[in-house]
Amino acid sequence: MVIVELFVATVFFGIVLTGLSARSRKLCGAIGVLTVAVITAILFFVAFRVFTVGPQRLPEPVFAVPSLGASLSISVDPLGGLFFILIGLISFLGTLYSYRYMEIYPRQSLARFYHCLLLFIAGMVGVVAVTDMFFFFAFWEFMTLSSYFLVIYEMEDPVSLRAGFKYFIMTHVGTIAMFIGAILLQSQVGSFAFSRLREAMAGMIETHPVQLSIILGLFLLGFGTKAGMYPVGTWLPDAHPAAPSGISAILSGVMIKMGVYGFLRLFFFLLPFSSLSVAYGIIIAAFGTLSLLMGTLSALMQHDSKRLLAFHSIGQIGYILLGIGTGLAFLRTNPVLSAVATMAAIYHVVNHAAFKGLLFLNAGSILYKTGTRDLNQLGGLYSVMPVTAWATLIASLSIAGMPPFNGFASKWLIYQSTILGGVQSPLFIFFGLLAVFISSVTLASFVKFFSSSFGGAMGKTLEAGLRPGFDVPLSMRFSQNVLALLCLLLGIFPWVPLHFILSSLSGSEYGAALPQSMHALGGSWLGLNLMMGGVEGSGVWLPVVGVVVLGICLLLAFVISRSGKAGTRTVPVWTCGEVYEPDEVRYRAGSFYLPFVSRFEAMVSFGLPSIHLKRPDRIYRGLDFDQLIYYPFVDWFIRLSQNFRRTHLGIPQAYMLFQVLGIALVGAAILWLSLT
Amino acid sequence: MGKPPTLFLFGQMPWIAADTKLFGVLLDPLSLLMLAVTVIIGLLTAVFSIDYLSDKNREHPVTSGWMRYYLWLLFFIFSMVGLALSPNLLQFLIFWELTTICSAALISFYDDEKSYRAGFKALLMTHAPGLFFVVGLALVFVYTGTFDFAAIGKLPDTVKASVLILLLLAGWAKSAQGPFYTWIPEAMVAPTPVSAYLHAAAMVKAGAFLIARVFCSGFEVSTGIGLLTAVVAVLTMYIGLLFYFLQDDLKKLLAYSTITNVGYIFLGLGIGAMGPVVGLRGGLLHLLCHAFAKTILFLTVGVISYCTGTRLMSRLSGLARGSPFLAFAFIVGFLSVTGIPPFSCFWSKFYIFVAAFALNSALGTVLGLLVLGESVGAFIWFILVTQRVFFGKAGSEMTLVIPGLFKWVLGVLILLALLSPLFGIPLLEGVG
Repeated sequence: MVIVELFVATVFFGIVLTGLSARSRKLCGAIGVLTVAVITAILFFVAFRVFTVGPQRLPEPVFAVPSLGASLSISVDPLGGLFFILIGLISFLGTLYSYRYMEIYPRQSLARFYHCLLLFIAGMVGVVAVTDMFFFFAFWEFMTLSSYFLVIYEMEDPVSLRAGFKYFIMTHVGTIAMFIGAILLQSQVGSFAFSRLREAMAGMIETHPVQLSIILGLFLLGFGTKAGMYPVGTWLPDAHPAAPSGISAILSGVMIKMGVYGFLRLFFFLLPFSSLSVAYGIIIAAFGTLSLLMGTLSALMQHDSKRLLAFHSIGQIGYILLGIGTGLAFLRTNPVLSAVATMAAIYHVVNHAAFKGLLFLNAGSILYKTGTRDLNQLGGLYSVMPVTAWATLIASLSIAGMPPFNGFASKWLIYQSTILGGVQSPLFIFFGLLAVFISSVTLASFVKFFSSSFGGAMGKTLEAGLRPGFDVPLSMRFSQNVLALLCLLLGIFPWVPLHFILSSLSGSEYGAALPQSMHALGGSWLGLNLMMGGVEGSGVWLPVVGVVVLGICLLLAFVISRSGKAGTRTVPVWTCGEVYEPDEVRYRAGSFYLPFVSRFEAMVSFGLPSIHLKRPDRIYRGLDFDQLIYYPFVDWFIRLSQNFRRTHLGIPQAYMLFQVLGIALVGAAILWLSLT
Repeated sequence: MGKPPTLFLFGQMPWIAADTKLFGVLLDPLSLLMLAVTVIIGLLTAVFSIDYLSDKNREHPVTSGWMRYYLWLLFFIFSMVGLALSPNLLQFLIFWELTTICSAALISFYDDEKSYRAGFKALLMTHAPGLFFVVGLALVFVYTGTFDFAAIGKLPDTVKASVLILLLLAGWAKSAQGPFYTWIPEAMVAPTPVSAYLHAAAMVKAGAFLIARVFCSGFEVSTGIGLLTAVVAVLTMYIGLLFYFLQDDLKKLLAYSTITNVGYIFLGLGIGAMGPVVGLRGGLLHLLCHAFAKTILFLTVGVISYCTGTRLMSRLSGLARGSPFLAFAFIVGFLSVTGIPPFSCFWSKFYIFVAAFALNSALGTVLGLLVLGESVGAFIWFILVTQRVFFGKAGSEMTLVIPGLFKWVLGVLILLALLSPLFGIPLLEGVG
């Protein structure tokens, strides 16, 4: 298909043209944005064809390596199509945002940024589009490589370098774990193609279940490291703040979802169902709960805006993994419940991309406007950045799970499936309750985030250091507003994304048990009407009704205030009547939740113990073969030769004696040889 | 590729009563591989040396001796080509010894006490085990009457094992494996193009090439020999890895990296001898891919020492600010060597890992895991080195002025490093 060539050509020309125009920052940025726009259009087109016509595949593999049994065969099924849409949308908005945002890095090369970004997007697309484990793995590492260079974009900063190093090494080790698993599977059937690996796994369930279990564990480690699962996702809080904000949005919005894609592909499409699936479902749900607990609790203590958001990414991935785990555990015992759980997880993937991407863009906007990420120094930004403030508010409410936004819809479905599933297996009720609790903790954290940055009064130093102009530039505002609108729409019309998500599960282990249409979830675009456990209406959520009611109430309030002719006065923000500087009396971000912070700080410390290895001198001395063997040998040989010199006595009679002895020896030898 | 190998023989020696002619040219995938490495990198090294050996070189200004240098360099290229095209063990040995002389001469190019000691040590440590090669050769001739590689297969079992071990010993010494590794770090006093070409791309591969020729001649190699090769290879890798952490001199670090990577080649060959043919192909592919990648690294270090006068890591920092192209070249080199997709050594290392696990035994798993551990360790160290030398606050040197010739050579090498798997993978499909 010509699409692949077109894609490759776009990336290639994007790299060449941005390289050539590196001097002119505006032109370079424009070319970069245009290239990503074309890539997004291609991705949307392919996704459109996948959802309307059917799975799209290349008839012939592009490249084959027969010795390994690997071939670069490209095939996009509905799940891939969904991820294409995600990659395209978030990448485009992040790049459009970066067009003006990159002004905060005047000394760094813009061409390097766009090169790495284009290769990064290509890597992500490659991961989703291939159906061969070897090339999946190759694109996976390539994606990590290109994002590493984006994380260390500020290459003089040692903090960025450490963050990038930690990121690359941790994901590399996770990838090696995956790698071992993949090769162990390949050694069974001699091929890396997904269909053959599926056969291998089917065989191993009978013959080597323990080995298969280990392989699945290795894959869990690998995908979990990329997804940001606790405890292997601790690279996230360092790497996401270090990258430029547009990239942070793409990293947190899309790249960690590649780990989730891996989980879905492996456990729902490749692994034939068995008791292993149930066991791993519980394990994944447990890790998910652990992540949402540890991630969100740690976020409560942060006062660096982007670090706070990164911890929340770990937390929200926990929700997604909880959904996947629940779906996996109940796959056969309650297919409808399981379908709801899995769909909720994928829906949360989409929602998280929207609101977390938006949050990172907002944090970037704050950084752009004020020059700082430290929430302790911010305050009162609403007056200078009203549009961004509203976008941040929408995103904060979405992530906290406040209706009618999108976070609520997916979280509600996760709660439904875990708690109703808990009827059969009580462990899941425990998980569900923790998830609900953490939702309130999320809200607390974002109350802190929003009020300490946008609320309150602005300090004098902050006001002096503001970048001039209204809010942030239009391209940045546009990206933010699109995502905010998306948060709203995805929440009000949940049936629309769920329809696509349902079709993305076709071809998976659900097989025929997958609800054929949205019948199990209500059949209209107005809302959801769940039918789980055979009970119609076991959960009903009609957001449109809620929004309409809310709208009517607001209208009423507006009419009443107008008719009552209530006057408004514009006054400065009330700061408790004191005349002190806002800097002195403002309630800083660090002051929030102090009793909690002091109690739990030690429990959720994310620092790795620093390892100090003493240099093993004895080993090095043991390996120094020069000193041990060679030089002593040479010395011995020289001494031997010097000792041998003593036979050169200089006395002719001695030499004649040697000759006589020699002749005698030779004569004796000849005699002996002739006798035997 | 797919065609039978081309063989052209001539010549006899009156005192050797052999059935076939003794000298000639053999063109098959292995020789083509070795030729590609030798000739292309030889050309690029020679071109690089034009500007490197001048008085503008801040590390080692050179004002005389060019004739001596190019004489030995070109003679070395001739010897390596002869070695690559050798149809039998005799011609192989002759050219093998010629390369030893060239190496010693080139190491001692700078004409001072340290260089002479290093050259002499290299000569001694590669020549003495070469005597094992002679004994092995003699044994083959005495028992079978020919010098062919495949003749080893016709030997009685104990003799065959002894000949293989003798050849292995010679190969290990030449390739600085096992206990014979000590000559290479000291040989880094040579001019950097020499280190790049001889001691990274071509000469150290000659030992591995000998074993490859022997193992790929179509006869059955015993599992014990394969195991021995593999175990010594893994030991060498870990010795090399351990020494990474001590190094301040970039060239010595790269020397130990060379030792480790040639260990990969031997590991691939050893595993291939135990069964999975993908191991043989992996080892040979690694020969090709590593050559280009390591040459980039060495020549980049050469440019650094040319421009700044030092190659010690403790004195360098923030070089990416001074020359983004140099940073790009070094990064491509280090990613290629440590095996990150899509760069070259990823493919060859993957072949070797697949081979290790394809043994389907505990041994294979252990070998595979050990080698993966080395790969990750090397990757961690190299990333730290890159961050130390190229990123971070710029040191006193601001913009580095790099002669255009260096950039051309590095550019061509980067392109070749990226494309080498595309050439190597199809070429090696028929091997084994």
